Amino acid sequence: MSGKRFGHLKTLFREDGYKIRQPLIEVLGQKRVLIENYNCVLDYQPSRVEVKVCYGSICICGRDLILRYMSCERLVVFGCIDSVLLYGGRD
Amino acid sequence: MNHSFAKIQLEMFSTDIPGVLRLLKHNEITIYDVERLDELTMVLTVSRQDYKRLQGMKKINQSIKVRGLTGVHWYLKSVMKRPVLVFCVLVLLIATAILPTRILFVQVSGNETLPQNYILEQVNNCGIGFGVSRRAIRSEQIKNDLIERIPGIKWAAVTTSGCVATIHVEEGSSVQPKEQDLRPGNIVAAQDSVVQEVNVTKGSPVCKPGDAVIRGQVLISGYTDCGRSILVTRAQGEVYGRTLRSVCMIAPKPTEQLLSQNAQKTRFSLLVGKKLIKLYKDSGISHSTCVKIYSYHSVDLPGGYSLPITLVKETVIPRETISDIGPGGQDWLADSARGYVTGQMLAGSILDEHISIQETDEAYCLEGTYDCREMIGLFNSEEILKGDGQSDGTGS
Repeated sequence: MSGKRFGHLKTLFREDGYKIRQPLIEVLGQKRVLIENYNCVLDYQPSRVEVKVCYGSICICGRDLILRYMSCERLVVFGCIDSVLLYGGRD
Repeated sequence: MNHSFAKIQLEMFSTDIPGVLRLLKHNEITIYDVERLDELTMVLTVSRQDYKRLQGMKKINQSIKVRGLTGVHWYLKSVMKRPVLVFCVLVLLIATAILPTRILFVQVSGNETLPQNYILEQVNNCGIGFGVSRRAIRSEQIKNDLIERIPGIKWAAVTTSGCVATIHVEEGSSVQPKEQDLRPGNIVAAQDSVVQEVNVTKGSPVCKPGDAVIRGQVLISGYTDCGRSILVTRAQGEVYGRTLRSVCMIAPKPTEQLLSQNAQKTRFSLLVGKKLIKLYKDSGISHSTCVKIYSYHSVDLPGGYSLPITLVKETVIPRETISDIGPGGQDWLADSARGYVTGQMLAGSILDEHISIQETDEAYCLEGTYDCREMIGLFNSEEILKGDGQSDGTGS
């Protein structure tokens, strides 16, 4: 559903035409975080999940975190989520 | 969908869990319910297809262990190892799907004089039988067919409930009499007698009380002279007369008679097809001679369909030999003679009797004369001649 709604945001193009896959983060209450267009998982612990995206990384902090679903495009984290932090490494 | 169809839960050991996750993502393997147990161990679930790809990855293959199989696929695979169960389930499913659409039993309601088997036979000829589709039954068409086939009914309907079709019939107010009942004829004397009473309901009496008649003589005529024409009818009435019957009976002295009911033995057995399965151990007959009475009880389903199983009840009555029947036997002989005479009459009773019993070395001989009052009128239908003068052979 979110993929359809925000589909136009998924893929952007830079000025030189390079294709950038922008991440889409969807937070549902304190229980579920969905990230689309991620690059890879940098760290995975019950209290912290860090995911690399095109501009940097996204850190999900909380308790009893589990990776509910992980495919090449989408990742779903379940658990008691305290914070979602965005770290920008580049534009 | 595929994920829930066949899932495999894996336990994975690695010093670099995020590295393993990156590798899985790089190989486009979708994983579910990833739970990290400790620093080196995590549990995850993959689909069956992805598990095959995991086995092909050398870096991961050595560090995974299957924890469990869940999903419909694995359940069906385990069930398929039991062919008898699969066969029974398939038969049950097919029966559940097909049987409610078929008629298995036919019942008849509302009939009073018409026999049920006759109606069922006609209903079967109309197309309603075992295994007929419920949708193929057209109540209006069946009603018309039944009314045409069975003259005795004036209305019929078919209702179906599950596998049972019920034929509701309403019989006509007056059932057409048989053709034989309409034939003209006379009432004649069944045997020689003296007429005592004449009751005529149709026809003309040709005898009166006190007349002596011989066998075959007309008592009530079906032909009535109306002057210009003769009215031909079927004579009806009752004629009673006094008759004399003679009987001679011989009973041997040494005879066999059945023992009392206390000595009877009842045994049961099952007749399945042509095979008789005895439900008792041995013959259990202690007497040299006996009488066996078999009664068969077939297992019937509603609608008259019989199962190939019959319960056979066997009653064994021992017999014993008596050297002399004695005075009681003479009474039995007289009663037997009286019963024989009564059975020979159409209707009536014995007014007086004269019997004499002679005893020889081996038998008793009864000679009796019975004065009876009995019905002597017997209907005799006339032969109907066709145009060429030949009889239709219906005369009696």
